[in-house]
Amino acid sequence: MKITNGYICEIDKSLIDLGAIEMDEIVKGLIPTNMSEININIEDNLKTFKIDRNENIITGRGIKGFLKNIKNTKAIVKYDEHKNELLLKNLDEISKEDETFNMLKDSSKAYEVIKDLAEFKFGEERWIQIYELAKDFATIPSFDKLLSQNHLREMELFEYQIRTVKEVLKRFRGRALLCDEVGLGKTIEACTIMMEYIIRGLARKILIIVPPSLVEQWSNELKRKFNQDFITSDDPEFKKMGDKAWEHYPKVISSINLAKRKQNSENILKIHYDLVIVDEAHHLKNRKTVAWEFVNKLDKNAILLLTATPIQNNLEELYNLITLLKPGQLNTYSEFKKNFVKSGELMEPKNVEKLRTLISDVMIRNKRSDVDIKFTKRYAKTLEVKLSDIEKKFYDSISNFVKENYNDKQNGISKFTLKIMQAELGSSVYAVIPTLEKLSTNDSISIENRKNICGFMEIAKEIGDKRYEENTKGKTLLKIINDFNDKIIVFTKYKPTIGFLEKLLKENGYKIAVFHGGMTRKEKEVQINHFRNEAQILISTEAGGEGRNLQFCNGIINYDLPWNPMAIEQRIGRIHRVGQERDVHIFNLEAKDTIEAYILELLDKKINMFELVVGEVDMILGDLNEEEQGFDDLIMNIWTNAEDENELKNKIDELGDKLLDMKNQYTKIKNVDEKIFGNLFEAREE
Amino acid sequence: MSNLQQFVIKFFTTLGAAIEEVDYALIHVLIDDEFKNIFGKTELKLCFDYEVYLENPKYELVTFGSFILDKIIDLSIKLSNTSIRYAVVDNLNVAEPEKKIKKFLNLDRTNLEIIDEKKFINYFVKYSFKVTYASDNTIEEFEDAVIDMKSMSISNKFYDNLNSVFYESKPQYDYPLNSNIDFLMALKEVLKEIDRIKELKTEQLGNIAIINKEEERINLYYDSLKIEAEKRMNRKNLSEEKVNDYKHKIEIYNMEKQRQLNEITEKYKIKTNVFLQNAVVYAVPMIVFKYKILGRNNSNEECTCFYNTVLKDFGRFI
Repeated sequence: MKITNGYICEIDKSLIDLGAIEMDEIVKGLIPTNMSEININIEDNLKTFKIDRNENIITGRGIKGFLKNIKNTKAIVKYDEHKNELLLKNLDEISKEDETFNMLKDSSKAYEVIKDLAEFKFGEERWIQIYELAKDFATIPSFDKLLSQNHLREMELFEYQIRTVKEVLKRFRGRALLCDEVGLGKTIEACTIMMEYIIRGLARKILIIVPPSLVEQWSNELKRKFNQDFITSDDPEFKKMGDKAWEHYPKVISSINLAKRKQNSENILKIHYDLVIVDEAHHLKNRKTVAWEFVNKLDKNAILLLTATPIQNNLEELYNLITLLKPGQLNTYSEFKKNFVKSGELMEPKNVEKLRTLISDVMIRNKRSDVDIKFTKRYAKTLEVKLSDIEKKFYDSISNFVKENYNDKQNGISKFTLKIMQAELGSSVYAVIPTLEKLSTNDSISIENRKNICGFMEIAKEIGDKRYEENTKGKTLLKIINDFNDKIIVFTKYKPTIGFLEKLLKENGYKIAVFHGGMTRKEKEVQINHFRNEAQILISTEAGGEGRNLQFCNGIINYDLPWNPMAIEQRIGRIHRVGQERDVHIFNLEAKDTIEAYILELLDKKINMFELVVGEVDMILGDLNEEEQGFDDLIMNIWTNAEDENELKNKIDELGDKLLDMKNQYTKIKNVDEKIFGNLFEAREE
Repeated sequence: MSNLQQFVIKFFTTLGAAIEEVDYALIHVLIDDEFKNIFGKTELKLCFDYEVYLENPKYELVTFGSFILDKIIDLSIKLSNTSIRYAVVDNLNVAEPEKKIKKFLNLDRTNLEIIDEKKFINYFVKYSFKVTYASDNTIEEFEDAVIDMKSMSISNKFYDNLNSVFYESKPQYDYPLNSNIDFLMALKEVLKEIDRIKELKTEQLGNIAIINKEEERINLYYDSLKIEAEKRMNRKNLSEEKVNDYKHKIEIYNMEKQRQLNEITEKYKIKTNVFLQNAVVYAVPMIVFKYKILGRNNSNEECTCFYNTVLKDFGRFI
């Protein structure tokens, strides 16, 4: 309906039983003020009524019946001044059956909207404004907008990671080989892709396959950074459920070794997965292995293969990985060999451009040199601490006790407790005291051992009674802090050591902040701010601090040394990350002939881990972990099994040589990949 | 304060609830009894940070997909059916209208006389939709379109300028209405525009070239595998068992090829749905000019054009 020179007026019938209708502003404005009567025309029926300006009403007999024909509270109105006539017309009626509504999903909502419009029944403006705001949270946008970014914790994605995620989602449709150079965050990219699928409701059943040594790490990262609760296949709950667990749990992390076992794979292969992620996918380089066959047979929508080194020995390995993602992308193997591998040269590709085009349909490889991040250098310095006689005695006595009891199953002390004790000993006397106290009252331990423990406690007390300044490690620490003369973080694994350091540093006039996992979020914020603004020193445990911005500081001291190299990496990573403008300095304290001194010898002198790029330690030590024994257990076994000092040194040397071989092997593979892939596979803007 | 927290606070404020910001990322909300059924209670303790939530487990974490956020979003959509915005303009007059109309008509060298000038109100309506595109991925897009009710045509220009329209919720001018008010017909017109957008998007998402490439890859791969198996099968002196093995393999290749081709077709087939979310009417003051062009065969023909005071441009009646 078209209106020409008309208005929409309100027909207020609240006084209709009294024979009157109220005039709204429109009607009032249309009828000249000198008129005492008005002719009302409704669909060619005409009647004259009186106007009461004082009461603002139109009144007259029969007005109720006359206005019956106006169906809604609003009507179209025009005024003819020659006839002093008010023309009233009904608004359009909307039929629910109109075919237009069938074109829309939720036709009743559409009908409601149009009906309200047609009746000029408008809602409140504020709800439209709320709707505009709700839009940001209410839909599943295209992959041009990543939804997970608002849900990541303790981190932000870099531009190249966002590009990678978008490209995998949009162009690769969820099937990709992520081959970023070490340290650029393939795991983060894969998890973000996963989050996009989860948030959009596209992935409910997810399987993550990783090397055994990374199961826990994946589980923790997913919880901490993505708030995703995956069950691991070695979780007691999972094991208890037996074969049904694979079907029962929607999100599972499993080691490849466990998943590929016949009994498990038979169950897994019956399940449809929305997404499968395989970390360290170079383990699937051989398509004649059970692992490759297993992953190939998985019923999956999307699959992400993660490896920094897709080619280790020959081009066939690349063929095998890509065939897992997209069978036929490189045709059959004999065709691939004929077209892309130089005769007799397993590592020499031919038709390189064509090969690159095919590979670029499934692979992304971001390189440090391509991404817009500034990486500063790391410098490590190890300072020798000469333990005082009594400290040395304390260390040796407890170490000998640990060694004697470590392989004795009958002594009532678990290997785990002994390992903890040895580690605490490496931190400070204060760290080990609570464990000694607990053991001294444990009835399941032999009387002789308890006697020994009580003896250790006495020495501990003697050391503890001395002035803090006499603590040799403490003295070295003070010297480092004094020489560094800038903000610095002192890391320790143990809370009692924090207490000691806090007192020691305060007594020496330093302003300090303290950070540990037992604090509330607010307390943590307060301490970090204090460190940023006032304190020179932050004493911190590893726990819970990854997301905190500490790049304003460029020095750390490992007051004690974690036995797990990844934990050392994480400490360094707190300040050696994007946004760090200065070179980073790492100080280690080393007391001769302690287990930590041997660890330092392996990690620092053999493979220079402190100066490696983030992530490379994991690459080098990854295969060591394949032996299903962590680096810490390996060291502990050597430490406790060596008959004498010579044997200990020999075994450490042997392990050192092995690590060096692994480092060289890693460097070789890295060079091969660089040669073949070059700079051509970084994620790109569309 | 996160965007989500800001939104939730604004939502509950709009709902008339009492809100107390208790601590970082923690709020208490007291809502009216009429919304009790929706939220299950009248007192809500909400948290917007996972870490804080761990320290305050009695609070409800508001995050993507949480019960409370879903309810808020549902209600936001449900309560926002229609609204009218009365445009406010800083200038309701056109200075030197003859000059401007001549320029608009591209008649710089002609003389023109304005006979009459009247103001009126025209409606522009913004219809808001949600469009879902479902294939192996599901994408939801908000699409809006604005229709000029006088000409019943899509006004991309008004749409582009929506953010610069100042408006009030009460009428600002008492000019008469010269506009169509058939909002159903307008919806039909707008849906044509939405269909156009939808088709374009579907085409982009479907990407025929990629489908063809994928089909080519699958055909080539399984045909090559078949040829290789056939070659091996035709070698001399093969046992019957071996030959049968190859025959079986070829069969499997055929089946697998078909399965994968179907999968690709399914993966890229896009089904769409359109939801009308709400509509906002803009009441816009316009000026209609009646004019005569002088000196052209002494014609006395009267013409009209109008001036949109919001867009600040001229147009002709269709």
